[in-house]
Amino acid sequence: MMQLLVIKEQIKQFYQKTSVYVNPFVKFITALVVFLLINQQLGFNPKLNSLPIVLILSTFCAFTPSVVLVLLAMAVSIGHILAISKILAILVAIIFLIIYCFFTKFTPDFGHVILAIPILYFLKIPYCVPILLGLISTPIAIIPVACGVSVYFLICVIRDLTSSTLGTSMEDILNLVRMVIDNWLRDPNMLFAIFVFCAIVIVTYIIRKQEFDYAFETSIVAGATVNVLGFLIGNIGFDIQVNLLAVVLGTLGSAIVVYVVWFFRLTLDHTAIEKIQFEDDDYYYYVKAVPKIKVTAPEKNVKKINEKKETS
Amino acid sequence: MLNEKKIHVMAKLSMMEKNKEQFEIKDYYMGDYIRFYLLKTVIRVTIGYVLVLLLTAFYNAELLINSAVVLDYKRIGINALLIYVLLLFCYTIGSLIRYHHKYKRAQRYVSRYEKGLGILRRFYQNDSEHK
Repeated sequence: MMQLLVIKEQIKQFYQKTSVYVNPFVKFITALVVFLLINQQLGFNPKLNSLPIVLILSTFCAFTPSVVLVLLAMAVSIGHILAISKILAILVAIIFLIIYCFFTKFTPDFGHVILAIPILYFLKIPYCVPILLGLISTPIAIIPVACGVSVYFLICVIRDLTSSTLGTSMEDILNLVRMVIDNWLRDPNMLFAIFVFCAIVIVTYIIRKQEFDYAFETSIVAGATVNVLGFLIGNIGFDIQVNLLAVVLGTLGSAIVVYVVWFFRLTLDHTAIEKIQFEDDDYYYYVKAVPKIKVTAPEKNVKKINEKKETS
Repeated sequence: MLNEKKIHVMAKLSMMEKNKEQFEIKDYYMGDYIRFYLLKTVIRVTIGYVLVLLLTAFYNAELLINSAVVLDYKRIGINALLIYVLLLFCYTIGSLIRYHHKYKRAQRYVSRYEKGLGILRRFYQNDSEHK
């Protein structure tokens, strides 16, 4: 355990020295993964599918605030849908606006969750988001979680419906819109997934707040258990279509990811070096504030013991 | 000659100044601050509700076109208005509580900052007395 703590502090030391380069690099990789996954799942617009466009957008996201990635991801998704149906694109844009107007303003710090859940669903580990939010946030996080799940299922509905040929008459357009909204809002899989994810957030939060040893670890296990049991009950009792093996493996993967994130607790605000400057009547001051490292890596001292050579 | 304690205070204040959101309250009394954000909430909820009504109308377009002359528009209008008022009431109460807490938290933060400014002012006064 001590060795792990030392590794954690070494990573923090490395991050302190190189955060100026690491931050844009991590943001670039994240944006690249996001746009590639969106192109893989939707991919109706050949211009947006091209690698140079993806690289340009990812590079732009690397040097801008992270909210830009969320907005660009939404724009790219709408761009793909626009390639097959203008009406569907307008519908999706209106739905995003409704989500923004009613829900995101109450949890502005968790706007990324609405993007993270669909992306992690595509990577088969969406369950780490509600478990992590239960650890670091309050039950109000169920709002962005519910929005994230519904955005994922909306994308799935559009992807599945648009695989069939689309008519251009008014009647075909109205039928398409009605089918999308019906399949989305009345999808029992989506409603049940929202319910289970909200339960995970609440259970994880309640256990995390208890005052006993290993409360955080217990809350991660509890959140994972609620997830597996929830989908098992849904599959058996409510005919929810879900691959239980995928759920179990995804839950295991998510729990490991959450544990690693929690253990390292790499909060960028508290690890990165801060640079400030100010002046008074006599001097200009350029100050670098470096957060203190709490566990020092042990220094290796190699001591050689030679046998005494006996001289006759 | 450098005064390390003064530099320490100045550095702390400079880092506090980076959190610009907390200093927003300096431009408002609490009532004005809450009223400003309540107005934003009302506008946002209204826009969102209009979009929901638009989607609902589009979803039921065929029914609306076929039954245009027989629909009870008065009852539909009253129901829509009641839902809007209820929604607005819930969001207004939520915003009131949230921004009240936010203002109080920011007030404590600004108060800590101004305490630091007072300490810095004393350093300057001591410096000018010694000169």
